[in-house]
Amino acid sequence: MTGTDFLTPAEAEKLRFFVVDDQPAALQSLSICAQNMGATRITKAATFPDAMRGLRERTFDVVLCDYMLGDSRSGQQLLEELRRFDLLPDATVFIMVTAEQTYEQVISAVELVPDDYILKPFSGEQLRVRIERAILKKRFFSGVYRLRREKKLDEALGELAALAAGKSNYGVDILRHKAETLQMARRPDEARAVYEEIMRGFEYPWARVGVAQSYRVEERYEEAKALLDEVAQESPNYLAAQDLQAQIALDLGEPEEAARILGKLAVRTPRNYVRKRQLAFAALANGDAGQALEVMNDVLANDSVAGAVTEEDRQQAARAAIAADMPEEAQKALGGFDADQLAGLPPDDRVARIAAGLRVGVQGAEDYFREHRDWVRDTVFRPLTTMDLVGSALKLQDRELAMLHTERLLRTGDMRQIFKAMHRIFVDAGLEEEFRSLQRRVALQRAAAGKAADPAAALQN
Amino acid sequence: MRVDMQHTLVGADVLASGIHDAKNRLFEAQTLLAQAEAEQGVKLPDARVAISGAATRLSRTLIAYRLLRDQQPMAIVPVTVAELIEDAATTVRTQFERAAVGLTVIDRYAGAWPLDRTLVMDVLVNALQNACRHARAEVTLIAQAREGGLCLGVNDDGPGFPPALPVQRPEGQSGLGLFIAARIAGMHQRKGRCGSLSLSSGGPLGGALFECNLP
Repeated sequence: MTGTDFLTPAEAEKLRFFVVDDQPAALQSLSICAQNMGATRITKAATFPDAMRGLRERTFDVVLCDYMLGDSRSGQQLLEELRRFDLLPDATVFIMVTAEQTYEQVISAVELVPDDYILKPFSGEQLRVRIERAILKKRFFSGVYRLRREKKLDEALGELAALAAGKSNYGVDILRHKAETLQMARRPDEARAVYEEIMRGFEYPWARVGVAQSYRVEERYEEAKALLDEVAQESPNYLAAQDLQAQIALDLGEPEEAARILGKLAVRTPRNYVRKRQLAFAALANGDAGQALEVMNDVLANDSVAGAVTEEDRQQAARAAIAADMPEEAQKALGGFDADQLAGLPPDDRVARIAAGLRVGVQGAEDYFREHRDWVRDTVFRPLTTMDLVGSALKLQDRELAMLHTERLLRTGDMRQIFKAMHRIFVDAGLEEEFRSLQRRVALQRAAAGKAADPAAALQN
Repeated sequence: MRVDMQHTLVGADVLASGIHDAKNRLFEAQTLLAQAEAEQGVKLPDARVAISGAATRLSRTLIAYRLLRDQQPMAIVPVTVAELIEDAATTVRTQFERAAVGLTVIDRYAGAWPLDRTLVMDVLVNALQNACRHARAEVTLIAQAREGGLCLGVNDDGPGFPPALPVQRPEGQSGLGLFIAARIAGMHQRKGRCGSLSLSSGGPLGGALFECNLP
């Protein structure tokens, strides 16, 4: 047998259960089932927001969650949101409950999986066995989880090697953790070798996507694309493959393709706001400001989990609104321009607000920008903020500042993803030739320094 | 033709939805029954077997419907073999206790195997239920590596399989189960090999020997 039967009724009584189901009778049944195996500390939630709130406020040992939560919400979405906001401690067991016999389809198609799932109807004893197994597995890998959280990746790999040397049923899991840890440690060739070892057993879509991820880091884009095309065709429900296709399209300066892929995915997963942010980025990079604005407005309005919408999101919405020539929308997203409040903000937030204010024509923004020109000139900003800054500088006829920051982006290679949008800014300002000439100069210098093997390739954008 | 296809799909969806709801209700019945058993200090194994039997029949009906229309999806994931056979044994435990048939689980494969957990589970539960019906006193469930594949065997001490069993066509409950098992085994493919079903009489217990071989 697989467990040690340690989860006796007395042990079960100590565990804190959190039970989620939108159907009152089913919620009651789940609670009774947990009671039947000895649980007494049971907290219930009937809606998605209640579940998020409950899990944010308190820590539980076991979460039992029905797959269908009503209001077009699913247990999978809950799991993804919990992981996104780091609300699930490593030791908490998350078990999906469903009467859907093809649930395995769901689980094999998503990146984030629950610790286990159980099909209805089931007995208290069946539930007990599942929970016990999940706890044992959590304990088995607890050292790895802790070391990875502490970013001690070499030690985590050492721990995994020790686990692999012992006897367990977790061989594939150990290999998968090892490959993921190697990816985190930016050791793509070794990660790829581990995924390939897994694939000698079976060509799981996640392992093939793992190989493609390694290829991406190694900048072996053609091999990554060929592999992902195969996975997308053979496992069309494994969306991580298509997300990676979109990422690679962005890497290659093909935002149109990225926006096309992400647009199709967003239709299939309307509540996935992480993906929608990616779509907005791709749309903006592709020069489709209208779509970017629409998507960001959706994110701002509907990504309703507390803390989900960030300053960066508001900036992105404002950026899209400005590009779409809708200044009121930009102001709506960022609020009014208040020079007194700017001093306390981080550099990127400051510049994004100044740029938005300036582009929208807010009183005082232009003076503020000119006053702080030295600081703006000498600070390095994120690529999107740099794009805002360049647009603002060009609006003020400050070509020197615009060229300086553009050159900086070109030198670091951060330009690739937003090349098309940046090019557009220069075209609109009547400075395309200057932009092209700067691009050529930097490409040749990079090639000479060995950073781009082929100057022709660096210039092909 | 196009209209027929749509009708077929709608038919599968309606069936799946109805079965989904029915299994939810069976879960309610099962938990209330277990609660009543605990509170009253009684055991009602017949009721428990009836509920789990109804759930199994519903699942199998949907799988058969989809298989007959080539609409049964597959999801291959690494499944810990020891857990798979333990789950199958737990599912049928009450039925075996009630029939006073012993069930021995032998795990000779350490680690995970790529398979569709739900479908293979259905195959094993069905084979165990059949074995329980025909056994005199003993059934074994064994998992072991064989010829580069995984062999899941169910052996009983009953009279053995009758000759020329209709595995290819779904006739009668037993025939339906075997038809499904053969199709599910065959749907498992790896490195150019397909899974298969093997039915014979003999084995260590001398009765029916059901073997599901997965590549």
